[in-house]
Amino acid sequence: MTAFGEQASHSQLSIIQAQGTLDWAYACFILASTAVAMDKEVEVFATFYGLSILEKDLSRLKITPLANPAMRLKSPVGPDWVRQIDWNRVLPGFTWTLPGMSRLATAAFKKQLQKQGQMPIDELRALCVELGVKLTACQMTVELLNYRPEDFIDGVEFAGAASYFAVSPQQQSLFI
Amino acid sequence: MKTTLNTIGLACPMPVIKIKKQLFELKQQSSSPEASIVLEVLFSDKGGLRDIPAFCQQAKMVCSAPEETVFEGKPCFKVILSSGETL
Repeated sequence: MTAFGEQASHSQLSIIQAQGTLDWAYACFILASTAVAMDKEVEVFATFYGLSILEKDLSRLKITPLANPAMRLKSPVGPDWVRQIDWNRVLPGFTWTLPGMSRLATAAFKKQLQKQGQMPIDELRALCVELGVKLTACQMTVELLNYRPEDFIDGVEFAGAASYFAVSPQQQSLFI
Repeated sequence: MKTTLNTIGLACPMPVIKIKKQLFELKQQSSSPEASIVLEVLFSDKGGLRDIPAFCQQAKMVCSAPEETVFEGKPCFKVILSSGETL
């Protein structure tokens, strides 16, 4: 049974989350929660840096324009002409290596999300958990990256790639 | 009886999630499983123009064509969802 009392459908979605930045955490939880609303069973399999989206403290999730030339970074505040500037295009790449730049870009990104009516990431994740999205941490990378089980939120399961493949042939899978 | 759900100001995926939750509650409250459910939805997320009809298709509901309207001074869109054959 799903969170909405529907008989679990055979339609399943599996998301392999390999990235640990704030933007990709949003992509993951938005897709996961929507898929549940569309009566799919959803599993998020977090591996490598994607494990950070399962940590208790999500304040470490950040964005950075560094080595990400496609990121459009615009100011969410200020006069119109300022908000039109794509700072990732006008500033040289090394700017983003300076101290505090990641924090600044993340603050701007969060402000923009809030203006758009998007939920904070911890609330969106809590919603996914409430809706029954299954969260699985890749056991091998948990050990490789020296995580402790208590670093993760309650309800996270630990499994390996074989468990993933045991169910994935029937699923629609996304790798993000 | 028509219920109205206000999702103005909320971005994707919240309008669809709220609709799903509201429909679930309405189904639980309704006297019989066959009783038809009508839900009016107000939203401002432009993605909803396509997402809400897509959601209805999947949920086997009928969705009216989105109309532009104003609610409490805020411009928004309105659709009516129905579990019956027609609206």
